[in-house]
Amino acid sequence: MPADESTASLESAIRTELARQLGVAGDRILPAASLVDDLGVDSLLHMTMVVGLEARFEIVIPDAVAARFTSVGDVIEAVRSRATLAGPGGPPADAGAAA
Amino acid sequence: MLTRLFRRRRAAAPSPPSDWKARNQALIARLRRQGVAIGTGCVILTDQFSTEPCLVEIGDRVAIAGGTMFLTHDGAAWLLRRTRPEAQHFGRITVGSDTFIGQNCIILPGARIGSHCVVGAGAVVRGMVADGMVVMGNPARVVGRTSLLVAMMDASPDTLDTYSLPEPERQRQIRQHFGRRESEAA
Repeated sequence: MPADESTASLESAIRTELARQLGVAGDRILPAASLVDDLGVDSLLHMTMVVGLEARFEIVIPDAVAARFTSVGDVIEAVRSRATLAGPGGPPADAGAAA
Repeated sequence: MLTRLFRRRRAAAPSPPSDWKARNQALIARLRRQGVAIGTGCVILTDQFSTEPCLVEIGDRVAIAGGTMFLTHDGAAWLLRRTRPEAQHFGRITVGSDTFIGQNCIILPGARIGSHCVVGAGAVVRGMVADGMVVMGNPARVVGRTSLLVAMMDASPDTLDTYSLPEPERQRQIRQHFGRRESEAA
């Protein structure tokens, strides 16, 4: 799979999972969206979102990074960078299918 | 008469932190006399340690909020009464160190709550809670890890360093932070 296509499918999978974790429609998962002001994320949802994303993409997001997420873009970047670095296979095998 | 009642209510208004700390120490001393094993540096704001307080063991630096109840026996043993009229069923409860248990939780017999855990308000805890976990709900389930919760709280703009301030100053700083006017004070 070309690198561009792989990156696109990973980002798509992240957005889908993020929408599922937050219980919002996929079209609200915009990079500039504020977790608190636009999506109503409280501290409990913030925590379950991080843990859910870690489990889904088999990554670990350091607490100091996860604690400072303020926008959807922050979350996507943190997951994308770690999932890409997770191994030569990039995203999990079913990442595209989940999108 | 009403004036006298009103004065009594005013006198019962929230005490400054130094008072509740003294009351907390007195409560811990009483609970220890009753048989609860309590480590050092704890803050315990409940006295509901069931009818077998000797079955509860609490580590160091544990905080337990008000209304939380420890149950060390299972009343369902009632159902044995026909064949064993004297039967009672018991379970030990342990809480590791550096753990926080929120308001109005119920800790069931046999529960083993680890160290560095957070039990969310209203949780009903049974079985084992592994070290470093945040649990909530009924029955309590893991919703995250304590290290992340603590990091989030540390980063939050709504976390203020007000714990040991004199009460009027503490209230003033909180009002100021949340943009409330002085005139809105109770």
